[in-house]
Amino acid sequence: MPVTRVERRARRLFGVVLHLYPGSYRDEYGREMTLVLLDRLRGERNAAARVVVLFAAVASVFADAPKQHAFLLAQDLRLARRLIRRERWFATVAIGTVALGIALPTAVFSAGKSLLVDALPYREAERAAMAWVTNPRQGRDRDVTSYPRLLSGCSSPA
Amino acid sequence: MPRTRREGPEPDDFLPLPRDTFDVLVSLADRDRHGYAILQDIAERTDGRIRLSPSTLYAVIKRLLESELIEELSERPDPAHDDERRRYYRLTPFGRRVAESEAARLTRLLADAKASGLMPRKG
Repeated sequence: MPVTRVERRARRLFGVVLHLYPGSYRDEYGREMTLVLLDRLRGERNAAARVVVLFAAVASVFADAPKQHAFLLAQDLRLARRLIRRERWFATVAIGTVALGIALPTAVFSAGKSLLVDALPYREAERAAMAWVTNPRQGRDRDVTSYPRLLSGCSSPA
Repeated sequence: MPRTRREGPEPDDFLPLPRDTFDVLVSLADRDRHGYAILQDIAERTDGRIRLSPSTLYAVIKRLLESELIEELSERPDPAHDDERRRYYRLTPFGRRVAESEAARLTRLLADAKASGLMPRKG
């Protein structure tokens, strides 16, 4: 049976939409689903009915694809749970390694961010300044001092 | 009495069947069919009220295959008169028992409805 232009377009559109499905499901049933859709389009008498059938099929894929993803995810989780129960020590080491691999970079990033990137935890932190005093007796240009001495030094005439 | 461990699922474990699932099983009860023939059969039996989309049909078929209620045929029943890319499906003996159990359940429901006056009694 010759393929019409409408069928070619429908096949192309449906082929794109089928990518919403998991790959394994699409490989297994995608071609059959397309054949069934083309058969249904051929069974309709007028163009308007064919458009309705096509869009209903596309909408149905949008509704069904998340369910298939969820089903596959649940299947994978069940398999993982069975494997973890069967190989407890291996699973413990593997999960511990993954946990460390996540925790260490997170800790380093958190420390680096708070030390180097984030603003100081004070109001108007941009006005914060560092004050040094000279200490000629000990030969230091930049020496630390106490707050009262610093105040007395500032208030005393130069 | 000690409980014996069951070998596998029983037909009643699948009940009640979703409407689409039962329709597909009924469609395969009398002959092996490919996907589009299943759709056509369901549409004819329901006077066009139920027209499954391809995605709904194959979601049902996938579930039925995984539950071993239907099986895919390795050969096509009528290779001279159809597309070689089509896959045919057949009801398994267990699938037939499940469909029969569902039919019996629906019959009991109808009988209850008739007994309570919800449906007109014929004959």
